[in-house]
Amino acid sequence: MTREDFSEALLSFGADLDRWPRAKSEAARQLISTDVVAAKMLADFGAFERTIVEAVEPPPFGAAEIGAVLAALPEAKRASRFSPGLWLAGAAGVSLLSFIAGFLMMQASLVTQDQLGVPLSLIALATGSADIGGLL
Amino acid sequence: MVEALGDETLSDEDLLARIANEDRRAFTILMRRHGQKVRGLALAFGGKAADADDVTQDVFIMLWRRPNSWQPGKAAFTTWLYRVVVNRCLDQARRQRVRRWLPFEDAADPVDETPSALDVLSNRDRLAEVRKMILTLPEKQRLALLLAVQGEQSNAEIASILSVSEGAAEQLLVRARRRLRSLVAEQEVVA
Repeated sequence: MTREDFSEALLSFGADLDRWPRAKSEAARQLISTDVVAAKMLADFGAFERTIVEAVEPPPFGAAEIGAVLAALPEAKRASRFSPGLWLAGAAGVSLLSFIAGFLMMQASLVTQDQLGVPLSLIALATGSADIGGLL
Repeated sequence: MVEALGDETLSDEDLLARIANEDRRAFTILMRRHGQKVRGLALAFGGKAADADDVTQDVFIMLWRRPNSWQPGKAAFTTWLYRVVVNRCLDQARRQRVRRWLPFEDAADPVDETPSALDVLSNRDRLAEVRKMILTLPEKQRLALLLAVQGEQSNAEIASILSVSEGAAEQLLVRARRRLRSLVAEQEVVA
């Protein structure tokens, strides 16, 4: 491994040689054991990486943060209570009402009382206000 | 107490199974275990505490609502969780870009610069500068770098989280580290 390869690998895999692919890690260890410039490159890169790690050190996630999420849960649960069954029942109800409304409008457009007789008897039968005799 | 300690050692998979039964204690343990990672990544990515809190809440509420979203056989829980956080961060950044184009939009929130105890103990100004430099990196490069240095994810894991090839993840890391190293070196020359 040349110094140039080593420099590129540092950018790819970072300063921790244990996290490098094995073959590259072994070649790098061999290089730094014999080349002081490469060893210095590793030390400098390690210092640079420690600075980044320190800069992005995550703040603690404690009781206050956990409490804030927990406080939002009941609302979240309510919002998530989507019931496919209820939606289907609702959609079916709307369809049925539309059908009945359409049926009634169609019947209202009929001109004679005779034409209205059978459908009205059917509705009366369905609602329980007439018996089967009305149809006969 | 013995039972409580036992709960703490449950696997993520077991905790999620309990969360499916609305077990708040299991949910709390899961948040305690992963909250710092989730919020830490969101904060380092966006630089604003309020935005990081939004992402964190969004991610955990999703886990509470749909604990079965993670498929154990497909990816490690942490890898999957990071993917969710990354997607939320990118969505949030996209929305903020759109909002900046809308008229009458409030000015952007200032970057959160509240010093932590760590800042006070170490070289506070220098670290704050480095954080600002990280924020100047393109989004994908920034995420790759944060996943590597903060999340200690391997290049293969980063590739999986960002939905790119391993080679592409490596290139993102190379560019991010090269750019940041150059910015840090410039700052040190100026200082």
